[in-house]
Amino acid sequence: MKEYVRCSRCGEQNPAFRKTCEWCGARLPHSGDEYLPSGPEEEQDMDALVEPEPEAFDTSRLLEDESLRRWLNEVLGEEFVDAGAPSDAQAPEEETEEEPAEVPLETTEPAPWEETGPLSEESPLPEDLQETLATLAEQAAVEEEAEAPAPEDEVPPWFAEAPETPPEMAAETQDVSEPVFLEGPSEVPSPPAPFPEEDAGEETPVEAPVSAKPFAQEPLDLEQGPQEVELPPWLLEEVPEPEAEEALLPEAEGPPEAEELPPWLTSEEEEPSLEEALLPFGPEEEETAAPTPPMEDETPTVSPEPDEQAEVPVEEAGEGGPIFGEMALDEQELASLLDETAFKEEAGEEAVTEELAPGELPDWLSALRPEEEGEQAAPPVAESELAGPLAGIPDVLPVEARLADMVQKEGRLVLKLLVRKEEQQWARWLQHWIRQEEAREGTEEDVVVARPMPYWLWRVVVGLLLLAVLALVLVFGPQGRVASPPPSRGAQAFLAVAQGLPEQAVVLLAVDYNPAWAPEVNRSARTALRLVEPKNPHYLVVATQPYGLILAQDLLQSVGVPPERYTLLGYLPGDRLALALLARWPRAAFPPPVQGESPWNQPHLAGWTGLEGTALVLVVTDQATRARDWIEQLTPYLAEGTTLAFTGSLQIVPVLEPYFDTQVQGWIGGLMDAAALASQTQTEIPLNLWTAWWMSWPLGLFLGVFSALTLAVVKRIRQGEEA
Amino acid sequence: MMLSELLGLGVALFLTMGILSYVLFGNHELFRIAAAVFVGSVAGYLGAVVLRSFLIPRLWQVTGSPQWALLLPWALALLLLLRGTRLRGLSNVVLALLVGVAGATLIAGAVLGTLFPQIEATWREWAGFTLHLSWAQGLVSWVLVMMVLMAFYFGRTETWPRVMRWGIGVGQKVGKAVVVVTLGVLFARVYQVALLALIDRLAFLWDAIRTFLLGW
Repeated sequence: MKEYVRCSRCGEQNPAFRKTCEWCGARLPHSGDEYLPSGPEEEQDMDALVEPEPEAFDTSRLLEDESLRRWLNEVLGEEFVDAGAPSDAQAPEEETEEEPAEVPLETTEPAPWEETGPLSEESPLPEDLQETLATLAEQAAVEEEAEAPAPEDEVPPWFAEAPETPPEMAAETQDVSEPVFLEGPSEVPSPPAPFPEEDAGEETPVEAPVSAKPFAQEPLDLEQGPQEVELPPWLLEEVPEPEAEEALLPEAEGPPEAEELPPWLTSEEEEPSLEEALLPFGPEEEETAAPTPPMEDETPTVSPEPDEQAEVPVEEAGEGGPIFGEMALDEQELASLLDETAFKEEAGEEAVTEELAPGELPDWLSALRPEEEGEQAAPPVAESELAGPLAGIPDVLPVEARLADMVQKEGRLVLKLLVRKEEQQWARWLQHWIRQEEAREGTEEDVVVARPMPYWLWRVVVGLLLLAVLALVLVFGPQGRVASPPPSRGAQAFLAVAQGLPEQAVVLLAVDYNPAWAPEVNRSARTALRLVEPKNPHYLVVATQPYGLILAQDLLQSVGVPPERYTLLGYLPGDRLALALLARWPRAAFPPPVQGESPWNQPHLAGWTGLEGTALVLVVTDQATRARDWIEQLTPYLAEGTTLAFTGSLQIVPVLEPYFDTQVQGWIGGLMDAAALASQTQTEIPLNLWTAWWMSWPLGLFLGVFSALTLAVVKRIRQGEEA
Repeated sequence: MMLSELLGLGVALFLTMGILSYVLFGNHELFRIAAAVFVGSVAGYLGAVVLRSFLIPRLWQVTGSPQWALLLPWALALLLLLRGTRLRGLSNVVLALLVGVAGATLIAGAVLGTLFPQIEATWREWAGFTLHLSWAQGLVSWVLVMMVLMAFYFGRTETWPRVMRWGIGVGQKVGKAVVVVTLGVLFARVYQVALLALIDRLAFLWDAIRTFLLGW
């Protein structure tokens, strides 16, 4: 059975138990069925491998641990089982068929340690056990170091003095709270294999990432110091790292060559990046430390220094081993990591920006770039990217870059990052451009467009001009009565109707107007009443507005109608439905009052069932639609001899014109008709018939038309400019 | 001038200034006060009028002189109060009745009060029986009315003869022009009325200023 399986996608070697490639994530060819946990016990074994318990570390119990023994059996071979393992460590038949114990012997592609290491035949079994125990001890030591706060820029004393310090000194510097199991390796019966001299004297590189996998992680004996760390020869003669690993691990394995990377990428390498911090946790990095050690002597080891690079990994390892491909960070850790991976600091941003040459951008991005710095290009459109390669293209940056930038700024999110090398580079690249875009906002590249005068300012100017002209004319205009204008045909017809009324006729006065909207209605209505009043009619007052009755009373009193000559039928709500009811059953529309006598009991209304006894229906309204409602609802039910006339605003006249002489017998449309009839009949009408009042009106009309035309021209010109 | 008239004039001046100041200063405190006074007074007066001249007389009509048939409108009115409860489905009956009756009234009024009389009047004018318009004026009026009616025809004309389609197209264009001119006239009348209202208010302000400040 193979110990390694080569990925068909990336060509990298992977441990045989993995189902997916630890480099590219592709599914491995062997499918990993034979390495899948065959039962709950093996699943527990795998969990134990992934998450060792430091507290439970006891060298005396290690041999009793079946899971560890099985794992060692898989890794080291049958010798371990034969030497120290109980007899039950041998798997059942069905398990041995799937996982034969002689894995190293049948390996078609022998593992590196099998080729070079002494574990297979020469080295005694306790030596292997000692190495394994040293590995576990290293994990515990790393955990202790991670828990103890240490300065970032300061190397621990024990590490600085490690090459010169004898093991006794290292034991003295050991923390008193150090767990007991750290003394375990010294109690191993067999002494550790002698370290090669050329390797024993070398310091372990600090920048080495922590390997999370137990057999890939090299131990560091804290008691004896780094010089006494015993590493198996197979680790010292590690196979050379593949080229793909170099491409994937630029930061961890040293700075990449300058000719292989663009300047914008090489500039990042001057500072610690996100991938440097996250490298040990990546799904492909955690197990690559062993086959691709970054040290010169190719000795994978653990840097006990809690520096920036190893801070988080050490903590993760101390918490119970690595979690493959998954990393849980709290907010402070995440913020610190993201701060470390800031693409450029305040001082270094300029240099980084300068190094970002446009010619090194991707082709598709270069094609989208409309302008370069210093080039004369068209101003970017508002509401879009103002500068840079994304100018004129709104919302092209993906959301993950914004999210990464937001997390980096606020640092309050707790994320489980599952990142790869390519994703990190992509995110950093996007962050770089986002910051560049933000930095360019408000600079000289912003296009300053002269905004035209807004429309609301135009309205204010026109309104003030109109008020000023009208006020000046009213104050300083000529005084005196206005010359009588000629009456319209509707006014002439109304005069004829008024003069033709019989004496003491019944006039239905309908008040349906809003004085605030049309102040002229009040005056035109008074003119109409004064024309009708010589016949001494009796008024039946109907109001379709709540305040209609008050207005009607004011009108009647203003023309001198005594209260006994009018009857307030009341308020008639219901819009046109109420009008239809009034036209058909006026008694039903106005029930008898609670107190007092019913108006329908009056002598001149006795026997009425409808509006047949009404000589004139005079509607006072200011709205054309209301005038049409009155015409439509009443005229079909008006009796012969009953006329319908209107008085009110000037704006009802166009609607009344089509009904003239067929359904409507006359009207007084606004002040024009009122003044004309007042002058013709020599009726004293309390109208503002002084000259200044009338002069201001045509002047206001002229200003209104002029303003409308001016604004229309201005708007048209502006639209043309915008187009 | 009596004190009450002076007081009323002052209040009116204050409220008018408050409303008109919206043009210059926008929505400010004085404008809001004046608007609140107007809206509140109208709403209060409306409630009083409805209660006094409508609800109470109709309730008395039922209870005072028992006419039990009149309880049906009250029952329907009470059903409208169920809109906010689980029995709001019952109120839909009332709403359906109102909408149906209102629609029928509107259509009946438009047909009986406008359409038929206008057709008759147009025919009379076209036939030259009117005293106000000449025969040519009646014909022009009739043609324009037809074109306006064509302007509101939205059916398919592909299967029609070519001459008819051309005539419909021309008629629709002319009819739309007539509608536009009519709407323009209506808008001009509205503007005239609004301008008169503005002049009237300015004249009132000037009168008030002369009364209070100048004394003449």
